Amino acid sequence: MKLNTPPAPHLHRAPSVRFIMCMVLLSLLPAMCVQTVYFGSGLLLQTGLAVSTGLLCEALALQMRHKPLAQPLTDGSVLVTAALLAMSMPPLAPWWLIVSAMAFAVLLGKHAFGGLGFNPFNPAMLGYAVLLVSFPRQMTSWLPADGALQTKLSLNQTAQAIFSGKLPEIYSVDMLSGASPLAALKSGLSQRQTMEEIFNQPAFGSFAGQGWQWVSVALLLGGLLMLAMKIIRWQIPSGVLLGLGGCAWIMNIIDPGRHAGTLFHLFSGATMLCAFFIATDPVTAATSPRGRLVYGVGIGVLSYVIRDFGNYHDGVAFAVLLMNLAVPLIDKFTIPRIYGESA
Amino acid sequence: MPSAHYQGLVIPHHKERTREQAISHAPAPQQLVLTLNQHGDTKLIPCVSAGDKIRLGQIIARPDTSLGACLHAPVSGTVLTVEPRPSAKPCNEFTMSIVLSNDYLDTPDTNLQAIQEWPSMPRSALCEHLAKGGIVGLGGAAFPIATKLAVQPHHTISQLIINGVECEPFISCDDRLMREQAVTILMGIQIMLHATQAEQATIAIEADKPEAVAAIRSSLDSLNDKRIEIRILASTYPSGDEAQLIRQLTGKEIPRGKLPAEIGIIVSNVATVYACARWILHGEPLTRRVVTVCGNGVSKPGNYLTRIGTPIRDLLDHCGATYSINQRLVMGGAMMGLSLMHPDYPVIKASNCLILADEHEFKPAPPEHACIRCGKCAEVCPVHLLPQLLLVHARLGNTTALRELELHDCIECGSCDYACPSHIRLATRFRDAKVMV
Repeated sequence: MKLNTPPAPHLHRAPSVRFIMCMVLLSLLPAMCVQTVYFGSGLLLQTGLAVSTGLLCEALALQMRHKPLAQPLTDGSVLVTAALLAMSMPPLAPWWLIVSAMAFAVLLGKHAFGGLGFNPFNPAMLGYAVLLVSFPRQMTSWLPADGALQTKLSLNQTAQAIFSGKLPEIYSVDMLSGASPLAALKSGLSQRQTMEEIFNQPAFGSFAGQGWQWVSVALLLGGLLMLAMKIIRWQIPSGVLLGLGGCAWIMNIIDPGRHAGTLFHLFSGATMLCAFFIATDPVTAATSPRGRLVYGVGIGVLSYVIRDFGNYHDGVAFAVLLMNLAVPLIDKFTIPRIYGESA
Repeated sequence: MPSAHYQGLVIPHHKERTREQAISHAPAPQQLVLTLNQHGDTKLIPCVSAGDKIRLGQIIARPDTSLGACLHAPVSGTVLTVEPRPSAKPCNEFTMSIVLSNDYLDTPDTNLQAIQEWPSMPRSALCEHLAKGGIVGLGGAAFPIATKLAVQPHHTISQLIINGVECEPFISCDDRLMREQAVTILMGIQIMLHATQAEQATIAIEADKPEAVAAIRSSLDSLNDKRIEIRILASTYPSGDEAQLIRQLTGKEIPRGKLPAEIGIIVSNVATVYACARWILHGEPLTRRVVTVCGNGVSKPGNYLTRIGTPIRDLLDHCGATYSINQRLVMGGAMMGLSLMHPDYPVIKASNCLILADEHEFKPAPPEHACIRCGKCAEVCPVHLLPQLLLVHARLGNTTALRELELHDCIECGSCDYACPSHIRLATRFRDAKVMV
């Protein structure tokens, strides 16, 4: 008689990668709902496009790399990338934008480097950045979330807008070229408007932009849920929020006339999405807890610098990609002290 | 008190089938096989040969150095042969072994004597005598007590830590021993205190053993020895690891590559101090130990006082073992225990637990997925290594990087395996990589 002799340990209880990805998607759900309420059903179509493109590209890449399809296609990582990218897109952006962003993210961002676990750059942010650089106008056409346009469009009309660029007759194309609060802030400041004038626009809502602020609150709640479930750890989110919030606080004290406050920066743009859902992508983040704090703070500070001094009104994608580049360096200098090693 | 940076894993205990089973005697077998590599690195030289009559407790093999533990006959009878036999550790290799035939008389060796006057003995004489009892660490490492006590002239020992933590799932032998033999254990601690001249002894017990705590506490109250204290630890894994135990109790760390004695501490398992007490007070050398037998392959799980050298098959049969395909037989706990190919190995001094489990109890490991660098492994590593980086370099065979990342500090506790969402067999990789480095 011969018994099975697998090596120790003999117990395994860890939640699977699939479970983790599902929990991330679940935590993202409230924010997606809020975004749909304020910005219309465009998000649903964008998500659908992103998911189908993502799965198709993943399958294609796996096929070309002679890898088994079942496991990577069902581990949920493509869905997370797709959801993040869809949430970053203007809801009525033409279909080819998200399709090419997603294809770029999966094919070049992920599989060119060896698939899940080997990509140095966050695939969603890579896809987003490439599109932002190539098609800046289409990528920033966020409509004011005042309930005027998108929410009045039926699903059919939204689909028509995304797939053919045609809007119902009663709406003018000008209404499509709205701006996010961050973009409005930037253009307002460049037109020498005062902070008060800028913030009195209806689009700025009660503290960080109509619609935007509530999406951010929902993202924060989703993030806290992930923290409670130990899906993510506190270092990266707090690093990002601390870095960005800290910079905003200091600059606001130095010159409140030219720099918006902490609350506005934390709850507008992609701050919360980045802090809890993008920067926390473990594959592309630093390794050790201390390293992750450094990585988070780096993203926060860079985001602020790009927002405040750069040409782009939101700098999250570039900040994440730049810090992705710095990960090997951070890892090298933040190796934890091993037990029994003299300090 | 500091428990600096120790974060254990909370894992299911699986002790419910054995923890209420009182220690009972396993029958002495007809034939016993005593392997000569019982105690880690020290080699044993047989001092009997085939045909010799032996008595219970008689020395049958001696270590090749002064620091080591002798091997005593667990039965009286005849030496059948001295030849290589398969042994469980190292895995399935043939090891020189002494095979005894039991005459079931248990005729004792008359040279063995109890020493009731030990409190008046000089420390060095007591140490010397302790070294002769064949006593080794019974927590699993089988480190000879003689070696442990030999640090004395070079280091002053201030604290004795008595390990009754038993953090590994399934094992309950120490729990039972503390519940049933609290007085003897405390005597053993007093003997050890005298032998080490330590000022203080701390018994550490995990919070999931309230009965053991109560038993030790009530005996301690009647003993009224101010030098001995009990500390209750949260039930986590691997809190019973020597290094982690010291850190939790004292906040100190053992410097790399050094012994705990370097920081004035000696750690001993409760079963080990119990063995010391039996040796000093009753003249019984270490020839038996309590083995927890469990798993759903046995109908009578429990804690059995077993003679060293008993074939595992005999012990399992006594516990009502039924064998079937897809079973696993594990010696040790569920986290670090060794899978045995068959039950035809003998029980050794380090055998604290035998688990005969089918694929429902020990599920086959889920398939491995790609590492997503989530860092869960680093979070749970009690030594603070970076398993995910070690994995990358182990795959590449990059020995320089593995050395730089201190692969050798890995205690192979399996925590990283347990926590990995991609189910990567990290501990196995690291065991293999250690050989490579």
